[in-house]
Amino acid sequence: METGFPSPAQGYEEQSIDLPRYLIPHPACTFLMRVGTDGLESSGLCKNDIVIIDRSIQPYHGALTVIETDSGFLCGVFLPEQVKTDNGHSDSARRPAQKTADSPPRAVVCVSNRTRIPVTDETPLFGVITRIIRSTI
Amino acid sequence: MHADANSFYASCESLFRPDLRGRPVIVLTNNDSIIISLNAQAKADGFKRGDKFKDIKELCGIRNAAVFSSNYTLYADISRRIVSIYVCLAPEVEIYSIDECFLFFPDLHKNACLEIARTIRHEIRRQTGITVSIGIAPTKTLAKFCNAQAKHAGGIFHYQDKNLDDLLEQTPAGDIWGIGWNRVHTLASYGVRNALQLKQFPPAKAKQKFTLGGYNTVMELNGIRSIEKNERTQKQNICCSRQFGKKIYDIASIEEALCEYTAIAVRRMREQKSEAKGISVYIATGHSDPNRFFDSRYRDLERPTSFLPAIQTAALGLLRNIYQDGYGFLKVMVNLHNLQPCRMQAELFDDIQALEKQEQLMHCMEKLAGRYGNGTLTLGISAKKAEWETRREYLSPCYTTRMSDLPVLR
Repeated sequence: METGFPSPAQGYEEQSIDLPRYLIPHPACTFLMRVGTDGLESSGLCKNDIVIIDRSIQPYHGALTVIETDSGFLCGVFLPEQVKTDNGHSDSARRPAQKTADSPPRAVVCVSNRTRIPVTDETPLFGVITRIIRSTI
Repeated sequence: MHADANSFYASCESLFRPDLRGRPVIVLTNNDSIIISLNAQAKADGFKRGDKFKDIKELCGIRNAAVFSSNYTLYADISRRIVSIYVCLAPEVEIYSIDECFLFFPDLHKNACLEIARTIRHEIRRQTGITVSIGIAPTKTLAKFCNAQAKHAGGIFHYQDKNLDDLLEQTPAGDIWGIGWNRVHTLASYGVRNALQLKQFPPAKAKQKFTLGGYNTVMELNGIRSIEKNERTQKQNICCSRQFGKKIYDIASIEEALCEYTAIAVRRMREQKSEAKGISVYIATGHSDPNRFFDSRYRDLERPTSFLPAIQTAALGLLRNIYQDGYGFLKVMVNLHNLQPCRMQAELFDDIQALEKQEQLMHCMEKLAGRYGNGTLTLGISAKKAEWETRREYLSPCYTTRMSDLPVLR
């Protein structure tokens, strides 16, 4: 029923922002975890932050990732290993982290204690952290 | 294709416990009494599905086994994720159980099928951490059989892979999906002992001598689709029952439990937009109780309804009719009968305003339940559940459905 003037906004309306969809584009492979320690602040994670982890994302050099160990889930910075090319120069920074049959070994540097943990079947990657949710209240 | 997860419950528990790698993991069911799921390490250590927990408790200690109660909330969530991935990868998905699905594809060349199966396995593993195995065949029965072979063959098995008939010959007829233990004897009397003999049984004779189910199985083993895709049918009957954690001797506790189970049944009924015309209640002591007692009673409801307070009142009335003092009850069951679709129009003598108010009240309760959880609002009787709730001593957190239960990152 039309009364008065037509809305000047007619034709420009959009749906409200769908925040859950924005934060979690792939619900089937997205998991949440809670940061349980102060020791990750160097990577921007504070205690009690909620992290959003996406298992479908290919880890890239420098990615914040979660790795499975026998001490539980640890946060690590992803590093494909240094690889010597034919002329002896290492190439890791530009090489995407693809796992092929004879790919170079991959590892993470644990944020809390700087140790290097190789990515293997015993210590696999759980996923890549895509967002950090911090409460300020 | 038939896809199912290996040791599903145990695998779900292991997903969020990387510290358990290498240890045997067992999951208990039915009041923590028997093993329902176990990982490869547990199988290697001598545990078996169906083992009674009290018998293997000592072995658990020796082998450092991790024991869990069934965490259905967690398993249902992981299952939902897996199904949503299947839906992206297959034109048609039929959910068979919490960890099994049938996936339907148009007729494809063997190599194409294998490629798809490999992709499915890879994606499920990558996105959820769960390993599934896949059997590929033109019929459901054969696909399930192939899946059983897949578990020993690297996870994927195509019906044209090896000589299928040889494998069928090595399989007892009773192991085939659709053949229950009570049919095994009937089949044996016709000389059918293994699955190959079942497959080769003359179809005309099968039609005559076996039930429809048995005949369908014979056809399916021969690659002829006979078992229909499961069309979503409305349930005619909804039942809710649980076993108590320990014997209950007072009617007040049974009334509490009955109210809760009635609420669950009514919720499921309202989800399929039905109302009930009858209700029955059943109570029983344990089977092996020397002082054994069980009884049940049915009554029609005054009018077909899905209004919870009315149904709970009826249920409590039935309970009071059958309850007897002096027995240690272990089980109570409520059954909603003769379900019919909710009527759109009121009948001649209905009080329309009262009906509308009832519907509003139900809506309000459902909304609150949706936001705050199912146990939030209970009618009348206080929730004092510790006495009679099913025993689940080794329950893991609901890692994916409760913010309070999130896994911790260090």
